[in-house]
Amino acid sequence: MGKKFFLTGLAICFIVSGALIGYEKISISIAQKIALDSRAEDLAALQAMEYDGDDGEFAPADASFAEILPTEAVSGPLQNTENPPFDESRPASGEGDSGEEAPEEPLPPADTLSSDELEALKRRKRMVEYQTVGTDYFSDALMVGDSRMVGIREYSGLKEPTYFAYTGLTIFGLDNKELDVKNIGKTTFTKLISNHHFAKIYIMLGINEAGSKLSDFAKKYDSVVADIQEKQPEAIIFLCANLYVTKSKSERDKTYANSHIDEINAAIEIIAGNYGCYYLDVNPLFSDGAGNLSTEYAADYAHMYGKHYRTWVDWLCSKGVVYDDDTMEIDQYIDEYQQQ
Amino acid sequence: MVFSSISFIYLFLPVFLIVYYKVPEKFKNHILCFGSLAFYIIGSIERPLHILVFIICLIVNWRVGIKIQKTKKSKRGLDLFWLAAGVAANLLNLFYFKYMSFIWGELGGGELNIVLPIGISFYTFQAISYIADVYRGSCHPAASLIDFVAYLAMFPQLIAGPIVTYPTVEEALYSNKTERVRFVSGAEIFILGLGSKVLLANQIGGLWRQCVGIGFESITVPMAWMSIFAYSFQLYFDFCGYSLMAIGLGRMLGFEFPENFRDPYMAVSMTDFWRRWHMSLGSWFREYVYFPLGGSKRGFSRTILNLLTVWMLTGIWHGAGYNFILWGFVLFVLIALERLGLKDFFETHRFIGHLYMLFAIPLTWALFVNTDFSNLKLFFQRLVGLGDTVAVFTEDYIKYGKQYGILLLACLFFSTDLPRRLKKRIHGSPAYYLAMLVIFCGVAYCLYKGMDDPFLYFQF
Repeated sequence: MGKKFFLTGLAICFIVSGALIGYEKISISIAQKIALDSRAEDLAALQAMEYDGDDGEFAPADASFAEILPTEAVSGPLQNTENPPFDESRPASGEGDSGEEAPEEPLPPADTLSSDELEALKRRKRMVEYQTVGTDYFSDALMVGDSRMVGIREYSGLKEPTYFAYTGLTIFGLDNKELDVKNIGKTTFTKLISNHHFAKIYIMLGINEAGSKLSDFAKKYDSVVADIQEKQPEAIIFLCANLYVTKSKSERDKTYANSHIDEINAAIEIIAGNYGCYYLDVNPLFSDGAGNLSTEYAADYAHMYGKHYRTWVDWLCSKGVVYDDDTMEIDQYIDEYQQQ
Repeated sequence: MVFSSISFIYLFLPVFLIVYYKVPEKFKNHILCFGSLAFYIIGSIERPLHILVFIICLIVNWRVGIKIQKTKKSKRGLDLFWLAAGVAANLLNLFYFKYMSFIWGELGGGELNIVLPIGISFYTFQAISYIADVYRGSCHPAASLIDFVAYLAMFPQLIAGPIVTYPTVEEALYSNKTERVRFVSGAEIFILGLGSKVLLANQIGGLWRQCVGIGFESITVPMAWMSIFAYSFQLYFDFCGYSLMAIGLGRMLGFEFPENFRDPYMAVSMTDFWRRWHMSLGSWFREYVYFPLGGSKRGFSRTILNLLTVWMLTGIWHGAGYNFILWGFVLFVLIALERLGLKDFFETHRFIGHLYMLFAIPLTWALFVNTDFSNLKLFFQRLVGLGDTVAVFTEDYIKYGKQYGILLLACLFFSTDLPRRLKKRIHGSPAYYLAMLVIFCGVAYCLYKGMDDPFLYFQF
C-alpha cells in the first residue's frame, strides 16, 4: 500500500515538476536569447534616440538642444559611449572643462523661454566640475543599489547616507520591494522619494537585470529617473555604472559577460545624458586593464572583498558635485520661469 | 553531470533506467558499460584528453588483471611484476593530473594549469584495488572488458564514490539483476541524498561563500565561527548526499554499495570520526596500505609510522597543496595521541568527547578548506579575535545569523542520529513516503528556481 502510494506519488511529482521545470527553463532560455540577441540593437536605438520625458516615449534627438548649448553636442551620449568602460567618469552631459564656460553664456529673459530651452538650461546647471568632498557630503544623500551597494553600506564605513539597498534588488523592484530603511522604517523606494527629501540620489542598479531585454531595462530606468526628478527636483542625481564581473565569469556566462555590462552601463549613461544626471563609472578603479573586475579585488566573481569598499567610497568622495553661484542663478531663473 | 542536476534527474536517469530495465538480462552489463561511458563522456565533453585517459585506464587495468591471473599460474614472481606495473601506471596517471601542476610550480617551473579529470581520484583507487584483489586471489578478473567497464565506470559511483571494490559487486555483476533491483528502496535513498545535497548543503554553503567573499580581515569572531560550522555542514551534507545518491542509484540497478557515512558528527574522537566519515576511503587505506605495511602488528614505532603514512596519503589524496599535507599531519597527530589512551577516555566520557569533536572537526576542516597559507593563518587568528582587521562590519553575525540561523539548526539536527532513528520508526508508513515526496518536491522547487547551483543562487 505504502509503496504503491509512493510510486504513484513519485511518478506524478516527477512528471509535473519535470514539465514545469522544462517549461521554465525553455522559456527563460528563449527570453535570454531574445535579450542577448536584441541588446546591441536596443542600445543602438537608445543611442540614436533621445528620450522625451513628457509622453514616456523615445523620440528622435532634438536638434534645437545642440543649438542652444553647442558644448553638449560634441560630448553627447553617442560620442560618450564609443569607449565608455575605460573613460574617466564625468558628468554625462558635458566634460568638466566645458562646465566653466557654459554658465558664462548670458541667460535669455525668463518670459521668452520655451520648454525645450528650459530643459537645456536644466542640463547646463549640471555642468560643474567634480569636487572632493568629505563624508558629511552624503548625510543628505540617498543611495540605492543591489549587493554592491549593500557592500558599501556594510564595509566602507560610510554611515552618513540613507541606504535603500538589497541583495538582488532590480530597477523593476523599486515600486514594490519593501525594505527596512534605517531611521525611516519599512518603505518602498517610490514611497521613500515621495515622502522624504534628499539632496543627492545615487543609483547603482542593472546587473540583476542582465537577463532582461535592454530596452525594457532602459525604459524602466528612464521612468524611475523621471519620477525622481519630478518628486525631488532639487536633488543631484548620480547614475552609477555597474561593476564588472571577473574575467572567468565573463567568459563563462553570456548574460553576465562584461561586454553586456558595458552595454547596460552605456544605456545608463545615455539616460544620464538625457536627464542631465551625473554618470559615475567606478570600473577603471577596479578593472584588470582588460575590462574585467580584477581578481585582486574580488574573491567571488562579482563582489569585492570588504576592505576595498573604502577605496570605492574615497573615489565617490572625489566625485562630489557642489553647485556654484552660476548654477544657483540658473536654479533661481528656472524657479522664476516656473512661477510665471 | 552531477546527480542533483536537471539533466541527470529528468533526462539521463529515466532514459537509462528504461533501457536498463527493458533489455534482456544478458545485455544489462552492456547497457551499464555503455551508459556509464556516455555519462563520463557527457561530463567531460569539453576535454577529450580526459575521456581518452579514462578509456586507456579502463583497457590497461583490464589487461593487467588478466596478465596477473595468467602469470599467477605459470611463473611465480611475474604476477607481482604486473601488479607493481599496474599500480605504478595508475599512480603515475593520478600523480600527473593531480600533483604535477603543484610540484612543478613549487620547483619554480611556472604554471602548468593541468585540469583534473572528473573522478580520477576515485577510479584510480578502484582500479588499484581491483588488480590488487586479483593478485591476492580475492576475486577473479572480470569475465570481459564489458563487465570490467560496467564495474569500474559504473556511473553511480564513478565521480564521487563510494569507493566500491570489485569483490563487493562481483556477485551482482554476474547474477540476475532483475531479481536484485530494489527500485523503491533505491529511490528513497536517492531522494534522501538529493535532499541532503540540494536542500541542506547547497543552501548552507552560501554562508561560507559569503565569508570568503568578504575577506577574513573584515569578519567578526562570531562570523568566523559561524562560517566554519557552515562549511563543515556543507561538506558533510554535500558528500554524504552524493554517497546516498550513489547508493540509491546502485540499488535501482541491482547493486549494493558500501555505506559511506554513519553520523560522523556524532563521533567522540578523531579515530571514531574517521570510522564514520568517508568509510569506503578509510577501508581502502586500511585494506591496501595500512595492513600490507603491517598495520599495528609490528610493534609500536612501526604502527606509528604506518599511521603517519596512511594519514599523509589521506591528506594528499584530497588535494595537492601544503594545507592538505598539514591537515593530514594534524589528523595523524590527533589519532596517534588517541591511540595512546585518549580515545578510551573520550569513549567513557562521551560528553567531553563530543565537546572535543565540536572544535576539532571544524578546525581541521578549516585547515582543509584554506589552500592559501596566509589566509589560513588569518582565519585562525580571526577565530580568536587576533590578526589585522580592515573594514569590519560589526553586525555581520547578526545579519547572517538571521539569514542562516534556522538552516544551521536544521543542519545540526540532521547531523545527529535522530533523523536516522526517526526514519527507522516510521519506515514504510504513508507518513514516511509522504516525507520522501515532500523532499523530492522541495528539490524540484530548488531546481526550478535555479537554486540547485549555488553559483546561480548567489545573487548580486
